[in-house]
Amino acid sequence: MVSPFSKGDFERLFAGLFNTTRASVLIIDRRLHVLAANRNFLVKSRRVEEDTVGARLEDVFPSVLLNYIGLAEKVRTAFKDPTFSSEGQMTYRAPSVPLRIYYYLLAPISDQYGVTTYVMLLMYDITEEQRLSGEVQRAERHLASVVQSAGDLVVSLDPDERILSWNPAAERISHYAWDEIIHRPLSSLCSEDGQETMRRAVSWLARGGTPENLEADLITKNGQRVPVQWALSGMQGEGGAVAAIVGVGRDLTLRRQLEAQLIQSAKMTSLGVMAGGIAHEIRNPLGICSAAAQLMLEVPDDRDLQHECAHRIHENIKRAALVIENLLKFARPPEEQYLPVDLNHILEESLALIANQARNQHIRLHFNPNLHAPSVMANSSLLQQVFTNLLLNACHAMPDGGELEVKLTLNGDWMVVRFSDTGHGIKSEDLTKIFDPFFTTRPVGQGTGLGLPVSYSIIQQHGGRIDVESMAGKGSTFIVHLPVRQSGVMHDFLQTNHHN
Amino acid sequence: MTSSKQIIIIDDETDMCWVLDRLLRHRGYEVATATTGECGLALLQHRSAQLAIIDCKLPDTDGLDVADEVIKLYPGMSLILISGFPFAEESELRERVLSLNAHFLAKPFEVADLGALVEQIMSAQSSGAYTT
Repeated sequence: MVSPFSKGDFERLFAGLFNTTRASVLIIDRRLHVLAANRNFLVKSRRVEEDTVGARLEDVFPSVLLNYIGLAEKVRTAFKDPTFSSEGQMTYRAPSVPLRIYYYLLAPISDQYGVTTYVMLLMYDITEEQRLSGEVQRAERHLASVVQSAGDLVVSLDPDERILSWNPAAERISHYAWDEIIHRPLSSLCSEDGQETMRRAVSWLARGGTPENLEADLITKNGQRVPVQWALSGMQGEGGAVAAIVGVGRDLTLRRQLEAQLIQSAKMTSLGVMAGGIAHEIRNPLGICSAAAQLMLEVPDDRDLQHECAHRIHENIKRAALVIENLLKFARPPEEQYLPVDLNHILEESLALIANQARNQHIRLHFNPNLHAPSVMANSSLLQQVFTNLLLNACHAMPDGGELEVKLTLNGDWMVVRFSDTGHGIKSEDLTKIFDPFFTTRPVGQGTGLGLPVSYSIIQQHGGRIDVESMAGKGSTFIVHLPVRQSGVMHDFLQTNHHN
Repeated sequence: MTSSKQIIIIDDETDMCWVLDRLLRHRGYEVATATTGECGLALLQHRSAQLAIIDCKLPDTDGLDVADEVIKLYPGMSLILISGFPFAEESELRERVLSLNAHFLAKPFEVADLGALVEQIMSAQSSGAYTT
């Protein structure tokens, strides 16, 4: 071997390396005595050279440690087998020093003939590294268990919207196990009307957009629809680019059920308000039928009169049946379907429901259908509930009669329905409260204060809004805005119907 | 007085007017009908009726207000008020009917009851129990 160093250089070089390395080094001879110990070893073990060099291994290390890692046996093996090496971890407590953890390496040092002359024991103190990695692991475990035990869906996606992780809540709610949906786009698990919204939000975030909140229904493995409110945000990787999208989804099923109950109970309140008018509406045709039938019995021989009576009875039975039909249609819990609907039609049905109430109070109704009105995507029974509620409120504001005008107009992308009354109006201090649940100006037992909040929430579900203009003593106008925007679903629906 | 058996019916339901008209004619009364309060009052100017049958709810004005007006103009007139609202449920209605000294029939009614009531009123009218 050609070396730039002389023999004397080598010795100094060895001594330098030996004493400056961060490892603790022991050279052990064939008798298992310490031949040399470097400075690091002496410092760490709180020993001095005099009681270490020349000492037996069992005098340098505690016997517990020697036995635990079988050091003496391993050293002996290394003397027999020059290819032997052993490594591992050991914990070592020198007197009055806290416990340290060492990585050790045991390797034979051979002479020029391949015969093992010494065995070298290298020990690195890895106590600190171990502690840090333990902390990292604990932090990771903690974070993982936060995600694992969260009640909300926690999902991570790559920037192409493919699912990377899926927590137990997501498994429980969707019934899809993680390995069934990994790498599938999240939107493929959404309902048809939620897919585009989800795709658009994720792509926005992947391009560095700000966090998005959205509602998109999840279709579970067994085909059920679960309403979910999603909070999506981008997760930045190294270099600032968006590495993943994190989605936290809340199952809204229970909230929807409560909302539906609230809607239904508000509707029942409206029915209660209308009940008197409806009874009257049915008793009138019943009174006519009853009297006409008795007339038929009294005059059995007059064929013309019999015919006329039968005709009128038939007409009035149809009239009563229509009242009942409208009533049942109103009372029925709404279906969840959103279909293109004609607002003229819903307004006419709502007006028919309250017509008798209005007539009893000498309120004149004015409505001219807008024949150019485009249809809107809506749940017709929910809208009817809103319109009926607004009409009943208007009637209530005019106990001594007045004018109730309904106007349907198209304004850009919005259908606008205005309900104007000439009633007592709303005090300006009450204007901000009328959409608050349980706010009512009516006497106890006559208003639940749920009509307007529920109407507001229904219109909001339709992507619209309700505004109010009012002057105390002059009357109020409630303005309902509904979007005419055609969704994908509606487009498909129209296409299908067109081809049919 | 052209006849002692004249009855006026004021009800916005044309079918109800028709059937009451036929029922009462069949019993031998002379009948005229109106579907608004205003028309009813106009009819009374030209007829010397002894009885007015008035629906409580009319499109132009309250049937009870019409009844008030009728009694004011024709103090000896007998009144039967009919309504789809039952008598007992509406205390205000009951008060008004009582104060008008009127009779009341809830819809739907028995023709026999109506016939008996009209018969009783008309015979009292002709015997002079009611005076104009």
